[in-house]
Amino acid sequence: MKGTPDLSVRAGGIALRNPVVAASGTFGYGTETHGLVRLDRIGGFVAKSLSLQPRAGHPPPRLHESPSGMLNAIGLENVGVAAFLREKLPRVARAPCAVIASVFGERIEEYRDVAARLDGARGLAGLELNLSCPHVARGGAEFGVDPGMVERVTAAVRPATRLPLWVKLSPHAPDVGETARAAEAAGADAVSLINTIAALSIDVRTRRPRLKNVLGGLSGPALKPIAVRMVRQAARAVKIPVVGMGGIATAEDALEFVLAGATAVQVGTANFVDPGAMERIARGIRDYLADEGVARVTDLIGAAFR
Amino acid sequence: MIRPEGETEPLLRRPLAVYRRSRERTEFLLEVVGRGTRRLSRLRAGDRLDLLGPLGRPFPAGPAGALHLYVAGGIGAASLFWPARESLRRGRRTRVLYGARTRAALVCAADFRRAGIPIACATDDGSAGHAGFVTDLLEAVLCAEGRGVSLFVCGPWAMMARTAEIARRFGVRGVASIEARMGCGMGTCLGCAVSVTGAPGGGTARVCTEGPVFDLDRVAWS
Repeated sequence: MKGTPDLSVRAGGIALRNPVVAASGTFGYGTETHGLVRLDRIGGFVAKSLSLQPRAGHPPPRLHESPSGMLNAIGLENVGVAAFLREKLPRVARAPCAVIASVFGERIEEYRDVAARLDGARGLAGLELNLSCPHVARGGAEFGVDPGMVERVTAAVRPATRLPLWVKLSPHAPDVGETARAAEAAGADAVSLINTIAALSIDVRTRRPRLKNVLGGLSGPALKPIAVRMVRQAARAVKIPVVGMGGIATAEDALEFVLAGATAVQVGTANFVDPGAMERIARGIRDYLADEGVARVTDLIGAAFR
Repeated sequence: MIRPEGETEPLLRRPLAVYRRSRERTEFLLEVVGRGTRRLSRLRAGDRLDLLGPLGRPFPAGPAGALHLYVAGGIGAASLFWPARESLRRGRRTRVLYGARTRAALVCAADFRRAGIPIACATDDGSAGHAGFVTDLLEAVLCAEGRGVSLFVCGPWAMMARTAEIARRFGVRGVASIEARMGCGMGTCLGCAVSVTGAPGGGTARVCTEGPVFDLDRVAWS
């Protein structure tokens, strides 16, 4: 093999120098990492999910560690799309990596309205729809649980923006292949998965749930085998690229997802433990390709099943 | 934010205040309260640590001219030793009130004394100093000193809440260093939120970034 391995990928219309992207909620708005993360060494980041209005999030305690993971009930605290456009995005608009905004809403119309406001914003490479939000009108069930709802949200957002559109699937859907197909049919450029898995932790001393919100989302290494399975299921179901995430901490973890069918990966919880994680993972992928004589990381997509 | 190098379980770093520093060493003092602190307590000389810091807002220098009164509860004393020493070095009138369950738990008392800082202790069981709470000592000092006191507080939540209430009653101001379970420690995950009063945008602040030191009257203690 001649030359250095090619780590570049194109994931649902977004060009990435390497397949490693920071997951939403783990990288703030891209400005908070104290210079510890080299943005020119990662593929990109997905910013904190935005709603139409600012949200205060859940009351504390919001976080609890669990074996090989953690539960979070942040409650989608965010500055709101207007403040993001005014104060946050300009600071990263010239970032040397893909800047992706995450969108959520309590109603389908809110997803569309947030996406419309972000459309054409200078510096944005794409949008990711966060469907792991309780649908207020349907008694709190996540949008992403039902393929019909996934299709409706995606179809409502699609005409509102020309930006590349990733749809982030919920792990609580009975069949992520179905929800992936629904997103694809409605015009998604890629699907990303998995989001956190609903979980509960109880303190036996106080005999009470540890999180004020009671339920939280489980993230971290404990999720990985479940996430890889779901990525494989989604990749089998659709032609559009799949972006995989769930407990990735090492280059090997990331490569598992690629071999299962992911075109790119997102790294979340690992960023808390090691700000250098994404850079290290990208370097590790490159070393693997060089050692194994593989010219392009894209050669490995889904290779475990070919 | 600290963890043993290269270990992945427990997953998250633990936030610890710097206890003491010299040219050769940086010291942390911790109480074993769970898996993370237990793991750290079993480290041996020569083991490697992965440190991320310094992070967050430290104790302010405080006003000149006031009595700098440090109110420590339990392992909270570990956060106050260095700032108290700094107050003294800056020529401020400095005192420490230090409460713990029992004499053996007053682990920092000798260091405060060696640093030349006047200290009064309280123990729940009366085995050293005043039999009762450090907040009893606080009320006594404030009765004697009046309003020319600046408080620096660290200890269990209930103790800090009581201190804030006493401070309000006596019309004195101060700061407290809050403890919180943390994810990133850097301000990105929003996991360490504490409820605050009068904050724009909805009532929480990040302990890792806007804190850990907050004005006493800013924290929503109850």
